[in-house]
Amino acid sequence: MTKKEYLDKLTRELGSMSYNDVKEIIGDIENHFDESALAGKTEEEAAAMLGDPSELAADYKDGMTFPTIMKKKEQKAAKPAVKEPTSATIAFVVLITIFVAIPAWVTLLGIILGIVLCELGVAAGAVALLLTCWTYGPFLTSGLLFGLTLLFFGIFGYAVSYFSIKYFIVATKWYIDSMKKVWKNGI
Amino acid sequence: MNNQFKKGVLDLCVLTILKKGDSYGYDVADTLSSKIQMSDGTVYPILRKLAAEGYVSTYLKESQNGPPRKYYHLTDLGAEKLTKDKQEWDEFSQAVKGILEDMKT
Repeated sequence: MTKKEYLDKLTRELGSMSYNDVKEIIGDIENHFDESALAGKTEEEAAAMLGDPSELAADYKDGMTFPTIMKKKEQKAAKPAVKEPTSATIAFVVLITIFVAIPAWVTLLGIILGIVLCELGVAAGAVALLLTCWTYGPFLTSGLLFGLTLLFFGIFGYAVSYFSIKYFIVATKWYIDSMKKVWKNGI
Repeated sequence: MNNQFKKGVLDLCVLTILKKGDSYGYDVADTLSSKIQMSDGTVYPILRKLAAEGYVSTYLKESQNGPPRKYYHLTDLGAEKLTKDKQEWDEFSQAVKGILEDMKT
């Protein structure tokens, strides 16, 4: 069989494969013929050594079946293998956590607790003032205004504490996630 | 030798050859077929499959007297697979050898 006959037969046998696959495969086998020629073999010899083109095509088809695609996906999913953290990574995570993250976290928690308590006091005071406003007598207007001011302050304080708690949780999560990432992938 | 027999082990042989250094199709085929009785063509589907699965990567390199060659390189994933498969093969072939030797006596 000549090179051309061999490649033609192989192309026919590969039939059901995509154009790109066939093109690549034919390119590979054509190169094999060229290398064989450089090594001093005739086309017939090279073709004989390559084996039956229909067997070769069958081998190609075997290798490209559904399980291959599945395996590819599985490997991709399994790829982020657990890497042992290096000592530098451990030191980095531990030191940052102990000396920066925990003090900052405790401080922020304290501030937020302060805000929340303050806000509770203000709101309670405002409500109490408004409830008792009929006892103000001549100071009714100023008492009401003071009460309303405190109430708005209370609402404002509620918003502040809501957002500070929310972002405190978000920040804590982010910190834990980023430290996990550092732990897994190194610094 | 039985063809089905060979197929599984040839993957292992190809990976081992590539562990020694990058190589191109003809060279891999030549190395293998000089030691194992097989068609030169057999290695090409194997190389293609290994590349599709990410065990080897390919690149083109100019050759001195011919068209550029497609070189195959063992990836980290391939090296991992090689270690694992080799161990499995060693255990398996030891076991088979043991069984066959038992039969003799």
